[in-house]
Amino acid sequence: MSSMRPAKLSRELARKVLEGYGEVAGVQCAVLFSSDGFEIASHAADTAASARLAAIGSSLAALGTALAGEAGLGNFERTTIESDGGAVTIMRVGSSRSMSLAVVAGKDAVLGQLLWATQRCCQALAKLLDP
Amino acid sequence: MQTLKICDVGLQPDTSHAFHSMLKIVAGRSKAIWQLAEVEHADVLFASSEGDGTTFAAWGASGKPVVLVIDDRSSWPPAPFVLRHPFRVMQLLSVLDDVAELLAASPGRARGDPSRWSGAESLRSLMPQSGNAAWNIARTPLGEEVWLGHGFVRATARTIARLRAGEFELAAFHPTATNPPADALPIATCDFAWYVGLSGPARLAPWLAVDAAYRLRRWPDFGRLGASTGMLELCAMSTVRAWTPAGLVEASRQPPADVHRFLAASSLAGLLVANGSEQVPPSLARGRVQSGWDRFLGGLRRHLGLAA
Amino acid sequence: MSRTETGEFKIVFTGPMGAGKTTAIAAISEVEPVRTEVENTDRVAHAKESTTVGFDFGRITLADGSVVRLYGTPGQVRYRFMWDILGRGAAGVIVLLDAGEPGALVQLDVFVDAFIPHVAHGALVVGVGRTDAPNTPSTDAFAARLDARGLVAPALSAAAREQGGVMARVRTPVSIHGSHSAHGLPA
Repeated sequence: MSSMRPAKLSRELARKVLEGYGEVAGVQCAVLFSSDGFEIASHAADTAASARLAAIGSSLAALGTALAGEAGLGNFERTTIESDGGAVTIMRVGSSRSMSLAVVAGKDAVLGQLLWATQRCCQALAKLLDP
Repeated sequence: MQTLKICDVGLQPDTSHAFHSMLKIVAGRSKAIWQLAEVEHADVLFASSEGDGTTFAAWGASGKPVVLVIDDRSSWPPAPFVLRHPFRVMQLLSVLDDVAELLAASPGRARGDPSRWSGAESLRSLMPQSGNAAWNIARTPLGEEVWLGHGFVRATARTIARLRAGEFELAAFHPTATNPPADALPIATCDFAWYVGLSGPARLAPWLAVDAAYRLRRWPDFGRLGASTGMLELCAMSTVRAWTPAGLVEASRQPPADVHRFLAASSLAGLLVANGSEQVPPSLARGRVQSGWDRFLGGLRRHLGLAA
Repeated sequence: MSRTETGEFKIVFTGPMGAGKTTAIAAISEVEPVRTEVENTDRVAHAKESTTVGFDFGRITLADGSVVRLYGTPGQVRYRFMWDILGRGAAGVIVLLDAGEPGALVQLDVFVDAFIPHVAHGALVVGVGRTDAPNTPSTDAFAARLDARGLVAPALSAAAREQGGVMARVRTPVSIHGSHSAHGLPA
């Protein structure tokens, strides 16, 4: 089923979901993007930053998909880049491969909790946009 | 497409078997049709460097090409066509295409080196006027005709094919009042010039200086013209720095005839400059070969009295 | 015949969306290429259904034993960061363009600007498709544009799928790179 980018109303609703999720400890910003690197909705990121996160995030999701496939491990679900100052997680949204969520979190985030909360957020977004 | 017969000699049984299988795989993907044949009927020998000395000697005398197969303990020999065993299909295809290219281009040369550069020299002197609304004609010993003028060269498809294969020697151009026939197709003057240069004599063209250093100011369009690895190497070297003809022969380790023809071809096509020279190479009238749609528009414009 | 040193090289295919990068690599790679294609949601930019968003990866061994790693970049400007990542350490770059697209000559500038810093020895090759379509710039127009920038880089007519042509385009930057290594004048 073709999954062109969601309509404006859906994007507004998605933004609200992200806002709620943004209350989770340590989350600095979150960007929901299409598999080909376009921002769909974001929270706490200026336009330039969210555009870059969307593009880089889409490359990472695609590379993650290729790597998981190469290793015979089935579908890509998420990848986390851990750095000195925090972490970035890219997580697939929904069962079609059309969207992912990128979350940037500072050092004060607890990774396990962050991932759990991100998963819940992705589920909410999936219900909204990818039924 | 030419059909070439190839024979393998002195290979280990598994190498020979792999070679035969790969020949089937490359069928339809090569520039030539390849058939396995006995040594007596083969055009190309596919041989191990560990092979039978007598066969080699006999083959060597014929002047026909050989693809040398070496193993991974051997150092790379100074031969034009080499494959290291085990080799892959794409590598075999690449070498076979280079051999096919060589054989397609050289029948004329095998019969005897053209002795004159006269066709090329007259082309060169005509180039500044090749855009003029006047025709010049040149003939080959077999009576084929080539027309030059109005920004193009025109010749029948068969003549162009034979020119591309290096199969004829062009006499000098001279002016003519007659027009080319309808079945004479246009070919861009610079492409024509390239092929004329490549099919010239083995010695250095008379308009090139032995002590001048030449470099390429622009690459030929090999997508249109076709090129062997050797040609690519010569172009690459000539864009990196300028070379005297002898210097280029030595550094490239290619046959002098190939280097001289490359220099003639690039010079005729207006791509070669002498280092330190102020001269801009003679500019060619750059007509483009028109598609049917362009001709239709051109006709329409003329009909309406608009500029071309 | 002089040879490039037998070694391992990285060649990058780049160019705008739809120019045929993924196709070219798939046509010659001796291993099944790694592809990172997803659905294209921007049909205004290009009608094609899928687009590369990570990179393509393939490999080929040349007749002289040199191994060439082939990388294909995404074409859209928003993936510029990938161009820099993939361009690093490249022995040569092949820019594929479609002469039938309006603005093909401008696209040439974009990609040459992005990749010239990565190929210091100028092993840049431009492959132009659909030059036989009516009213399109010829390869001469692309060559002239390169001339104007002081670059002597080949502009070759190209059909993305045709194996022989793709091979010639890969061998060209390898030859250029080798010539620079062997014969280049010191900077």
